[in-house]
Amino acid sequence: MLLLSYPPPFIYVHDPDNVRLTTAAIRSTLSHLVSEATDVPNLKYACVDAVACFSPRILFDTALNALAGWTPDWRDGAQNWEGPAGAETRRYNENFDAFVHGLQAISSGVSASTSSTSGMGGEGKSKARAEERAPAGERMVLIVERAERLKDNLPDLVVPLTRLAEMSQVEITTIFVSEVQWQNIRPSLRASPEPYYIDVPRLSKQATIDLLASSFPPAIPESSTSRATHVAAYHPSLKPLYAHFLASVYSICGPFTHDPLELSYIAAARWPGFVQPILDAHRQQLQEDAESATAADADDPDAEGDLEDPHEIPPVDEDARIRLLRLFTPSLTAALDTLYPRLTNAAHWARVHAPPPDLLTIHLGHAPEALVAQAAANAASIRASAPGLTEAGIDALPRMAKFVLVAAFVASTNPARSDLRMFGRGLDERAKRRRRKAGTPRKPKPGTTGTAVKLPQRLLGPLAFPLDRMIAILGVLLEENDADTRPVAPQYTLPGEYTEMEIARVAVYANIAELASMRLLVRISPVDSLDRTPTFKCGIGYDLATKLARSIGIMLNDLVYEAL
Amino acid sequence: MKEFNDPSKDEGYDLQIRAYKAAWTRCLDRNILKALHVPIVNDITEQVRNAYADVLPGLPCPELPVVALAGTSILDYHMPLRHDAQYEDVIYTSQVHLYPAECSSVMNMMKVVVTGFVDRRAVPIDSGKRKPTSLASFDINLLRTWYDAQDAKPRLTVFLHEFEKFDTSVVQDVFYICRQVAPYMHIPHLPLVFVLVMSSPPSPSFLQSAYPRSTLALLRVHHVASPAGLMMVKEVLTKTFFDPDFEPDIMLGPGALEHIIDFASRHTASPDALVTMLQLAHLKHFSSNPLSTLVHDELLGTTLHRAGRTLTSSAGLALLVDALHARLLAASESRPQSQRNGDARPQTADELLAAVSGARTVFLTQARRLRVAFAVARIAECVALGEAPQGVPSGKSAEGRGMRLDSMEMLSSLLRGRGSSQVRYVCMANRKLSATKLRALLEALHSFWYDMESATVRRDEEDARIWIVETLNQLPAESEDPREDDLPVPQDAQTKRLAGSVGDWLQEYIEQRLVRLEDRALWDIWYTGATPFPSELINPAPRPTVVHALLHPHDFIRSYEELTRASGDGEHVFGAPEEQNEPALWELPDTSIAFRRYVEAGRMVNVFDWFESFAVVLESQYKHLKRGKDMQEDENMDAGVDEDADVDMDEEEEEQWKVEVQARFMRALHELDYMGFVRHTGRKPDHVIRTIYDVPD
Repeated sequence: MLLLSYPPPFIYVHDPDNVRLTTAAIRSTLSHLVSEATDVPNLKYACVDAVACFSPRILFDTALNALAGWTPDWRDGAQNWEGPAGAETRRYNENFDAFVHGLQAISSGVSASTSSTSGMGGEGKSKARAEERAPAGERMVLIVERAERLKDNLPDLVVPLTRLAEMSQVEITTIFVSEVQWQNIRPSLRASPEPYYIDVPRLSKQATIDLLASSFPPAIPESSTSRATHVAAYHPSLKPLYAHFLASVYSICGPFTHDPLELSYIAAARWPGFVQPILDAHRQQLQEDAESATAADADDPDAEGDLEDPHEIPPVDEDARIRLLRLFTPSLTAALDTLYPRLTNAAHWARVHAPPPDLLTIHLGHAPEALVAQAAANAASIRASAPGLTEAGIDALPRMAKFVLVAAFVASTNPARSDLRMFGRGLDERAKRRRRKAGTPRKPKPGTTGTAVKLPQRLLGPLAFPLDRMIAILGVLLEENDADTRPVAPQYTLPGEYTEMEIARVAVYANIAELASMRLLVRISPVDSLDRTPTFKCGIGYDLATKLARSIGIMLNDLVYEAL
Repeated sequence: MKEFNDPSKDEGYDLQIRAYKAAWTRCLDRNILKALHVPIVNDITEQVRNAYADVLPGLPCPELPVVALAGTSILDYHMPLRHDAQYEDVIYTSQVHLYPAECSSVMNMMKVVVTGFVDRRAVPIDSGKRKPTSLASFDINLLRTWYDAQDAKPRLTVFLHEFEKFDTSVVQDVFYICRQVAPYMHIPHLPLVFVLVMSSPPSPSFLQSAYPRSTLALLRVHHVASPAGLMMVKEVLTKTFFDPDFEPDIMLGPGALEHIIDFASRHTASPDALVTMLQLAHLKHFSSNPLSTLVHDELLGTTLHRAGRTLTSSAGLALLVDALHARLLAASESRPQSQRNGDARPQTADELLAAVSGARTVFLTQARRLRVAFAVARIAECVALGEAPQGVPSGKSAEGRGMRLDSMEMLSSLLRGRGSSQVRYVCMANRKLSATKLRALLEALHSFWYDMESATVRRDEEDARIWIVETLNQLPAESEDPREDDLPVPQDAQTKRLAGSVGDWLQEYIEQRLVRLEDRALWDIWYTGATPFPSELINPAPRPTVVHALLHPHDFIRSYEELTRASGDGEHVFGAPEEQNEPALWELPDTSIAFRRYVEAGRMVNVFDWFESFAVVLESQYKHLKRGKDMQEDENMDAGVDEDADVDMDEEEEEQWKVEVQARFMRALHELDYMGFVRHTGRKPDHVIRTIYDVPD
């Protein structure tokens, strides 16, 4: 990172794993450099995020304000940096040209101010850095995070940014940080200079653990009112235990994710629960001590001095540590299951999985059950405390939506050519169909085993189907399973006429649109093409479909071409 | 009563609509929905307030707090707004409401977010218009500078309404940007909180399926489910029409209730749909029944002593008077002979109005008593049989066991007079109650009767209250044994006797009151009875209707005429209504002829062939019309014209006729095209593809 002595004008940092971490590292290095004024005196840097800077103006504003060290103030109308003091105010965010001028203004303005001061400060430097005393004595760094987004958001700016030093004739280094390679961003025709590549290697296991351990949060001030955490959970004296805990977290979650951020997310969710037994034990110990102390008080009023600092937690012995780790290992897997896909958030998870009080006093054999029971109880109490939060879920869907979903699942799983066989209802079609089901499943031909195994559609993912087909299947399902529950309508005399009307109703289509917006049905065809039949895919899996079908009285297995 | 459907003619209609408005406003003002949402709103407010106070320490990076509110829709948009006002003194919250339409791109969305906060209250120092040299209005940094300048540090809350309709890529970027400025580790930045208003159910979660993990990792999502679905529908219906403390102006009959319940369970149980249906039921009641003018009072929009004169003098109200006479006569005739001797038929208008007033009192008392009895029955059931299982049993299983009084289906069957078996069952269960449960029951009833708000109802239920106090006194002192309730406790003799008498009394009390409301005179002013709900208005079937209309245009024209005849002056009805036989093909309108031909074609329709066949029909139509006209002319002019002349046309005429046929065909074709029956194919010239195939005859 200390390439900054003779910096190349354009650096490309590629880190496929932890861009955020790398960015943070670059930033902190730079801020360190800036604060260490003795080393590189006039270093200025600006971080811009290619996602946040979706328009050139924001990019220019952010970069210039940061480089000039300017903070816009609301009271004077949130003005941007307006050039060096004394100079006439200009607008620097208009276009790239103005931006370059802004850079030059910053550079010259600072050099003007440094030249006046360098007389005093310059002699003290031990290292001979020629360029620092060069006329353009300002060195600037522009970091562009998530540079891959530049290509989409601001495609016109990629080339100028990479050639920034060249164009502005000031000493500026552009650093792109991205998780994709330069090849994927590089403009055509070699318009950009070749960058100086830095590839960040993947963190090793030990490095990850060390990193996480080093980020052991500072002790929380007592004033903060955090429900979930015991205040003392991040007491510095627990740090050794934290390292052990992290090693175990890594060994369990390592096969699934190496991302230190994810690991520390899981660790943050589990740690308060993990240390709680120790803290409980410690508190009890303190209480006992206090009792004995009060008992002793009568005898010896001077004994108070012996008491150690009540916040100092004694180191945990090996035995308890192993016991705790063993106890909490299953919950770590559970945490990975729910937290990695963010099915819930860490704070909530930590609250649900808080261990029962005084876990260490519970007998070894019963402790796991106690843990599970406590989690269930916590979940129940949280649910009870949040009124109205019913676990309605998919059961709350209206009846027609359930039918639509089942029809969509069938349409997505069965090949279209099987529809007539599955749903064609002649006079004795039902009996025939049953017989076919009862018959032996098609066996692969003797010669072709192994080579052309046809995967069941269920495993291949849903097929797209046109809306009409789904509506037709819906009609069959309704006719067979819903006809009894409908309100009587004497105006429909023909068999099936009622169903025919029902499936053409506006509410059915409204339900389909609603389901599509919920992503339970996935719309394949573009929304704005009115000309075509819309096509959909089913967005629910087999289990959910079975559950739904059961709730409306459909035997789903009879309707699926390749039944389980 | 068709002859009274004469709305636009006079002030009668006006009065009806005014009465409708009053009744509907009263019904809507019940605010049950709002009350239902209060816990949710509290929860959200709590979440928003604590969003940054309650952060799990040790997280690797800041998270953007997000409250995902599932299962609501437009109606409750403004509830959080109102409610948050209470908290404004505690932590002043600032809110921005976003809708999908204004967030088509990242820039637009950021602009709305930033300007929504920044331009909310004009800070006096603000120079008004920002210069181009200042921060852009879509720059999050502008919001940050603004926030830094605020003295009261507000919570910034962003509501995303109809969250499903937002462009996911846009929202992803916005979340990313806003996350960057989120406070972390006691570094105060912008305390933004997002509230996502979604209509999808809480699981499977829309957020999980629509947004990638990388975005979800930026958020701290707190899921809140709003009370939606059938539970809400039931609550609203019960609280509106069966709450002893509330008297709706219009009582919905079983016809409407059944439809609403069916629609809610089958299609959508959203509050919007429910409110619309209730409104429609009200509107229908008032627009179809002229007597409904008399819902509130018999003043007819005037003062009392003038009402009678208005009634007699106004021509428009004459029909109303007739109808009233007829109805009162019918009511008095249906009564037994002994009662009829006393009351003579009302002669003057004032007497008539007095009769209406009397009928109103009787009906309202009846309805009130019904509500009270129903509430009592539900209390008894709840104590005797335990809480009703939540969730609505699906169709078949509900019929197996007896329907619970507390279930939604019961509301309509109660009004149909079908609830008595369950009532009897409940009362039987009451007779076997143990002492503890009996005490619980009696205490529940006691508090029910004494906590009623309406003074009239309380006066009405004086007897019941006396009875309940007496019975409570008879109850043996509470036994101390902590036996479980669900164990079968043998009843001691005294309890048994008491429980038996309570059961008997309850049964008599309830059954006396659960009567059919249709039995009262002039009931249909206040009660919709078994009239069906106009479901086609809520849930039409457009395509079959259009097809049917094209196949049988005359039926539709006729029914439309019937509908509008009242409003117009009974215009000439197209085609004689008595004529039941199917009109011949040539008698149909052009579009229908073309459609008939279309129905007979194959999958692809050759447009020229279609035109030819269309022309044939028009040819015969021309002949028929000509012949008809000629016959008329024959009669009129008494002149014999040779028979062949009507068919033949000279060349010029023929040319003109051909052009006309073509024009008419083009028009018919375009109309069908417009209705979506034709799809053009690029592959085969002169051919179109049919879009519907199985057309019923």
